Amino acid sequence: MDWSLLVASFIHDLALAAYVGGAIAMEFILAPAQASIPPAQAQIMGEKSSGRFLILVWVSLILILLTGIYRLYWRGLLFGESFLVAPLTWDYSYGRTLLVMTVFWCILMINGALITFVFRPILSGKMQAGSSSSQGREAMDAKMKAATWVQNLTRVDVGLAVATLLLGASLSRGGLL
Amino acid sequence: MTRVENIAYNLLSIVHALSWSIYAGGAICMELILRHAQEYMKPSQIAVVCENSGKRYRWWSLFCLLGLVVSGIPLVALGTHELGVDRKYSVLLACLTLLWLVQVLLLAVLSFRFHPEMHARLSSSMSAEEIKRERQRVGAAIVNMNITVRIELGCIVLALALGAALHLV
Repeated sequence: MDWSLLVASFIHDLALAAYVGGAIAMEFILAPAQASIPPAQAQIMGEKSSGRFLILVWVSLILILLTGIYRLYWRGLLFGESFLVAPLTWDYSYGRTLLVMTVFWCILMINGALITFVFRPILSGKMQAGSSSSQGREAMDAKMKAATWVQNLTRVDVGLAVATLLLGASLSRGGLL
Repeated sequence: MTRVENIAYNLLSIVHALSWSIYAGGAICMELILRHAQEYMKPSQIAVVCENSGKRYRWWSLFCLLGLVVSGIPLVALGTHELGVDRKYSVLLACLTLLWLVQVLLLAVLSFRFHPEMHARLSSSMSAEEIKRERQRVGAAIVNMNITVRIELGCIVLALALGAALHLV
């Protein structure tokens, strides 16, 4: 047994579990628990847990990519006789399944970037001293919209992550598509 | 393998993959995310969040552990390895089964022993000494719970490593 492949496979599975399981836990375990405490404390809990979860998400996505590429390379399916070696081509179910998984991964990265660099800064933005009431209302509206976007993107991410996991489980039998 | 067996194998693989990823990821989330958020919350609210999330997490863990065994046994039966003949495969599978039993035991201990003990049973008629003893009892239960949850997470990480090795055999 090649140890580098074993370590890569272990890290791949761990990163996958952290992402999928973490997303489901955030949605179905932490979010309801957050709803059971007063709003001020719920906001603190939400900020701290989502901040830490974003770090987990980024680390997981990068590790999934790196270990995934290594595993394909080790099997001789990448950077072999050609860039993509059969069955990692469009003609095979394995190749098509992996391509769709890669597309899903790209969407997860884009969503992660939107949440981290666009919507979270809006949510954590503070009111300036001396702001007018209309400015205050605008800021609140922007935060509400950002919160809705984050919620919807997170739900899309959970669905895509589960779909990717399902496709990945089919690869040992040659793929699903 | 026939077409029906192939479809069954794929479905079972999906259930198995979902079960272990939700179980492992949930444990990682509770340890790395919830514990971190608790450092910034009031103790009274930590107790409420822990009780609420703990109850839900226990049920999710139970369904995941059941999913693992319900999908795992037929996957082994439909697989290409022969138990008892393929030594590496058999040893790894035995270790994973043992770890699964340990996880079930840990879940039972958390659910029926430590989690109920975390609730402080205070009443207005209690003396200061009794209140102090009750708080110490709850404190000890929290320490036991933390240790058990960390053992659980360690076992999960070990199971993932063994599972990765199993797929390479």
